[in-house]
Amino acid sequence: MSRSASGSERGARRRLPAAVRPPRRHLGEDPDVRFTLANERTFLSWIRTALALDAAGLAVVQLLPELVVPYAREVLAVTLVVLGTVVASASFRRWASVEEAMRTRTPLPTSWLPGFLAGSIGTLSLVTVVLLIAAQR
Amino acid sequence: MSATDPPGDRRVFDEGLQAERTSLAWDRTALTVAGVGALLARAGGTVLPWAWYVAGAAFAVAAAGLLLGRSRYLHRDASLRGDRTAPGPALIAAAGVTGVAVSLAAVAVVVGMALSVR
Repeated sequence: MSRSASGSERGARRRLPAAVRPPRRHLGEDPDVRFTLANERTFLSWIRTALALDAAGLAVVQLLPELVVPYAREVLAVTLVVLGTVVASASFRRWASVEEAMRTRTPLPTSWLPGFLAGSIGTLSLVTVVLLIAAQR
Repeated sequence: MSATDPPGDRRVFDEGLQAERTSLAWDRTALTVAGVGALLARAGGTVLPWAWYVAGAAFAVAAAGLLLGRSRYLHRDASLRGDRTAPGPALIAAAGVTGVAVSLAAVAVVVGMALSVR
């Protein structure tokens, strides 16, 4: 890639917000295409995870009965779809930083997202179970 | 590949089927967008008429995603054979934006439902 091409690429990148800024393709060298594709599939899995959180939130308002705690159902649903928004927002940034790390042969970046998500879903599930059992009484 | 193979050999290039699995991941993601669109209409459509438009848009985006995912697969295949440069990040960014947009629509429907049930 010529110097002027990578210079204009950098200029275009800088105008974009970090959440959608593409990886720096002038860095390092192309990684093994299997890893590129694995990163792409992992990104798509994160997007589907976000969409599944959205679906779960919509299912809560659509399917759950009124719970004993006032507005618990609504709070549960809003929490799920907000989690979906957070996951979807973080996905592209994560994909791009893994892509850059693979190009420069540096260790892959760690992410707070899987741990945060596991904790959130676990807590939400427990709360839902307790509320549903209480609703049966 | 032997010398008798015709030009434009359409056999699978990669024994790990990486490109094919990635193409299927795009398909699954597009279909999930359509599914959440249907849920948006089902959950919100009766009270929030705009939810129908959001659902329609989600179906249109899902259809576009299936077509563009297929085209990306063909592009990737050509790049593995050295015929083209590798596909860029544009479709990935579009998928990320779609995920955020669908999630925000879900937030709007859930909050709208909560307020209208009052």
